[in-house]
Amino acid sequence: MKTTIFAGAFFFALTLRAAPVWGPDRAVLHTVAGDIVLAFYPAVAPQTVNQMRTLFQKGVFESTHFFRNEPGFVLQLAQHGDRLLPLLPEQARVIARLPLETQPAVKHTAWRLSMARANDDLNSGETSFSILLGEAPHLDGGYTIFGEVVAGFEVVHQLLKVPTDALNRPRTRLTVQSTSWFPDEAALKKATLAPATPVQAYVPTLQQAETRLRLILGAGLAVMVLTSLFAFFWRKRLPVTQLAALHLVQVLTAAFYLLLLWLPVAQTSGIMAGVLFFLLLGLFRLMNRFEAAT
Amino acid sequence: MRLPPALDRFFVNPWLDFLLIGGGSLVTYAALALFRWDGQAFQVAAAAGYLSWIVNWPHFSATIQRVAQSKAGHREFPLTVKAIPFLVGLGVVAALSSPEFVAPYFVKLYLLWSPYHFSGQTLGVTLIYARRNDVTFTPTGRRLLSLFIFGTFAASLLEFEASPLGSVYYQIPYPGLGVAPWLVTAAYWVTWLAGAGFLFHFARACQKIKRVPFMVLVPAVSQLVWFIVARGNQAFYALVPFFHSLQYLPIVWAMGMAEKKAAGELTPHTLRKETVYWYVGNVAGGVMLFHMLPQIFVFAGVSTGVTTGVLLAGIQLHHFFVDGVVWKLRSTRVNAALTKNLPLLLRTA
Repeated sequence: MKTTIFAGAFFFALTLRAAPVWGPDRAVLHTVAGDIVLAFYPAVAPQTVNQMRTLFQKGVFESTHFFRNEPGFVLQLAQHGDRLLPLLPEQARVIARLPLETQPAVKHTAWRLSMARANDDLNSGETSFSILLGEAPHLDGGYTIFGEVVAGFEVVHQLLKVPTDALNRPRTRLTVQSTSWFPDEAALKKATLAPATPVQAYVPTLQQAETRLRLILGAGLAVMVLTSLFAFFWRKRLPVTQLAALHLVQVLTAAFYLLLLWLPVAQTSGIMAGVLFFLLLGLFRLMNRFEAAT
Repeated sequence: MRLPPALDRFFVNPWLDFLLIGGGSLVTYAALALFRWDGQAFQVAAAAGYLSWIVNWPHFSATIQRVAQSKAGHREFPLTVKAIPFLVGLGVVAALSSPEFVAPYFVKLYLLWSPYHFSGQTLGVTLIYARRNDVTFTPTGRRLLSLFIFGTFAASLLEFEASPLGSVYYQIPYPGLGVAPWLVTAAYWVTWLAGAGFLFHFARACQKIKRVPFMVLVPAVSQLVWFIVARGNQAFYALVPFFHSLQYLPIVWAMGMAEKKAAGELTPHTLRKETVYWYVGNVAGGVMLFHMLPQIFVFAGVSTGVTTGVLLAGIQLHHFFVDGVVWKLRSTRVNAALTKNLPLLLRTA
């Protein structure tokens, strides 16, 4: 009898300490600081892991970001609504609410992945999840743990270095630029992972431009041409105030283009940046004279 | 009818005027500092968020209503009424079409223009109260005042812009400028020197009228407190726009009512009814602009964060533009209305 109790207690203790088994597939978050590799616990949270696989395969996490950074607690990925790029219809279709899935033996400890949910609804997880940065026993039993970070720990450390505001929001956007999904470890090994790098200032550049950018830039130039033509052909009918205002429309449009083109260049020189700043103040002052009679 | 000078010194009365032109924000800041509410900045921000519905948003709507819904506005500012919404609309469409490239700069333009706009109002209110109190500034005194007020915002903004990291506005990351650190120091020095120079000129102007109208200094002091002393405080982002709007609404209302009265469309009996219509209309307008309009874009499939950020930036850029056009102290009509006592203005308009 004694032996049975000891054996039972021993195996119970083993289950408490045993790490959950990783499933074969791996997912990678390609972030602004490098790549983070995730493994999942299909035996612990089967529905959540299935759903995560689908979300990664469909690219739902692309262009979202880590919006919460609480050192020692969590680094949290935002909901799909925070993506920079609109969801494609096929991406929107696969998003679904997830039920709570817990196992008493699986605790909230560092590097594990925990599904976020609404405070008042246990079964409301969707696409936001956290990387645990330490032990969080108060979350045990209330939030689904579905995997862990298996590589890219230094990348997480780089993300954590970005300054935050009083509400623990990073002061620069920690974007997940893209994601990948691999059926197994062997497939992952064939891929090249981006190493950890410090998070850089966000500089939108012309290299990121899309085809429609040509249309956007063209539309602004069209505004300038049309206002010039209007001012030219109507010069005898328009009062001086309105002719001057049409010139200011052109100045404003052109100044916005200059901001687009010069800001990345100005960032390389503190003095140029200062000149740009004061030019913008001058622009605002000038705009106060729009349609001014005097 | 010539108005009694003692009444002309105030828009309504000394206490209400003090609270409206910056005293209210100073008292709030003192309370925040005294009771150490810094840690509860989130609650303060949330409370101010609710106040947006009844103060901030209606103030944007009131500007649009003032210029676009009156025949006089169309006559006097045809391009502001017709061309500027079109131009800003193009910017919004461009930013929504290119959230990665155009939206960050569109937001950046708004975020730089916004404190400039607040400062412009502070300068305007200071000059109005100087006139109300017969304080005459020399051109140098006026320049120093302007340099001080715009310096407070420029110095603190340059401090933020010293980092090229930028920040995030409604999920839209935008770049910082990365200005040289010495420019920040220089901006602070210029601000302090301009402030000292202005105080000297103010003291000399007070000698001429043989009294010290402290009310003239209230807007500049509140600007100094919120833009420099309280910079970085979470409450800044919620409370500064709130007090700015609170200051603005009664002025637009008063001008609107005075004009109605002058046109024979308002009697003392219909004043209350007209005021309710005006306010409710502007609350509804604010909700349409800031709540319903973004929802329409979200339903169309654009990302919630990007839509909200771009539309808010667009609406506010339009507001800065229109405000700069409409409120010119050089205009006799504007000047006459802004430097009168409200009860007398409504009685005599």
